[in-house]
Amino acid sequence: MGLKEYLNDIVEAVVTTAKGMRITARYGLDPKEETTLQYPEERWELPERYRGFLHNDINTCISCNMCVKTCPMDCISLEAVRGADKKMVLASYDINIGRCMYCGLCVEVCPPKSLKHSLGYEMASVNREQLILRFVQEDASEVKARVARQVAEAAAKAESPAAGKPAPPAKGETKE
Amino acid sequence: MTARPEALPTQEMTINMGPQHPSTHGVLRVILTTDGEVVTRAVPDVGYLHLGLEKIAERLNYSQFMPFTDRLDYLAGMNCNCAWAWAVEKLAKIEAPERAEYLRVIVSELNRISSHLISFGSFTADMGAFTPFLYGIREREKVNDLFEMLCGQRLTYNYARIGGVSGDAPPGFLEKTREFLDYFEPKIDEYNNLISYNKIFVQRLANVAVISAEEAVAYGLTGPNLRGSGVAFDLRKDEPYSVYPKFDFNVCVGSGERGQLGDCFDRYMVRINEMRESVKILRQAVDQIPEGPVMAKVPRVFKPPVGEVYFRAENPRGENGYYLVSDGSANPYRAKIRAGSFVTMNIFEKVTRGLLIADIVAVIGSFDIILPEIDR
Repeated sequence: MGLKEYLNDIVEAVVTTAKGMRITARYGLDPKEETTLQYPEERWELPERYRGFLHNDINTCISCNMCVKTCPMDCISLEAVRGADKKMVLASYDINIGRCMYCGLCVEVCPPKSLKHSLGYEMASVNREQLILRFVQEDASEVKARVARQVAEAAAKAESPAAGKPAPPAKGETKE
Repeated sequence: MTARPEALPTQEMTINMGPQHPSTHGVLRVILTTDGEVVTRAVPDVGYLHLGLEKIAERLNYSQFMPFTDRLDYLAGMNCNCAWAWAVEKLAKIEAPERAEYLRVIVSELNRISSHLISFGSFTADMGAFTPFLYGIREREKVNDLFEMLCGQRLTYNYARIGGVSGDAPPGFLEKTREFLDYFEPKIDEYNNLISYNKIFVQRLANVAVISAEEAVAYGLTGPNLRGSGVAFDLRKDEPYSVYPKFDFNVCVGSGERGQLGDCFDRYMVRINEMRESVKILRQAVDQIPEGPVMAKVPRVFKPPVGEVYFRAENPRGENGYYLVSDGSANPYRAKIRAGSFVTMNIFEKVTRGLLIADIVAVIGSFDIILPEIDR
């Protein structure tokens, strides 16, 4: 390499670096170019379709098990018993958000649209147990006992006016 | 190497670069055998991020596997999503509505831009210039906002569906995409002024790890790594799928403008220029997108016919292929995933011979590898 080329390289390096630094300086000094959001104080506006934590409205849930079957991670567990009016009663509905990958497939298949993504994205827990969201507040065994009692009462009621009929013993049928 | 006096015996040293090394872009371990600063042998050791995706695919049905394709290449989840959907549709001979195909192309190209921005940013950061990384992230954030608006997630999109896409573009999405394109296109020139033609940056990349066109083809390189060597092969042009034939765009190839053809700088420039072409495709797609449904009629219990199919799509990191074997059940019998980064690792040992240790970083950066793709 000749001396001329060597000097040329130095000049070019200085010139091109200065060109780049000018852009950096412009962004550094222009207050309009500020892009950082001071997170805990300021927040993004979340779009409607945002897929945050799952939330199931247990009052409209029909315990159809579609979400459980669709979930690729098996993070939803559902337990339901057949109630006195032949409808399914949720005994427990747990979502393990430690496993959930927020793909939204369960929300798409939900027939009554009771399962939805909320806008929540902040959560901290000190153990894995807290990562399981329980949507039925009552204990599963309590719900089952209560429903079994109601079913038995209904069966007894149905039996007393028509004693001759062989009433089918309607027992609390469990579904996964 | 010049001969050394025998009084000073030297020996080669074996050192590990990675798995925990900031410039290996994840958990890639490179076993370096060095003679002083010079690398005599660099063997990539892959497998630290094995996800078992192919086995997972056998366990799940076709639509359940969709969110896992996001994890295959987490910087280009949309491309992988769409490729999986196209592969399954080819297997089951389903045709997605045209609007869905347009939306898929729009998200694929947006994701190509965001992926190349990260590639540009992390590559320059590896080369010692930290500022461009922030600019790359800043623009990528806008793409992520668009995706969040469209599908609700910023990284793991799970947007495509077998037979369409999960949701139509919400009101304002196409306008915002147009706004982004107007904002983004001048930024590419800014990047070039900022770093691309910086003499120090060019000197570090020019003539480093030169791959000739024959070599690139022989080693099965695809994507920008192949085009960097001057081979104009782009699946969007050469094996057109979806609605790509309707768009007018150029295939960017390396030109050896600052050194030999096929060096690190050429591979870098191909990515920069490809962003411009993606903008071109996006402008046409946003203008031409027809009205209509976004989902074809697909039975809820989806069982494709017995058969096998191979579909490949042009991802930011090269050819992303899915080889699917169906036995007629709801789950794939076998799903083989072909990923660009994994194949690129083949040529790594060959091109790094005789380079300096600092150049290894440049080579890894110029290949733009992503680890989940390598280990799958």
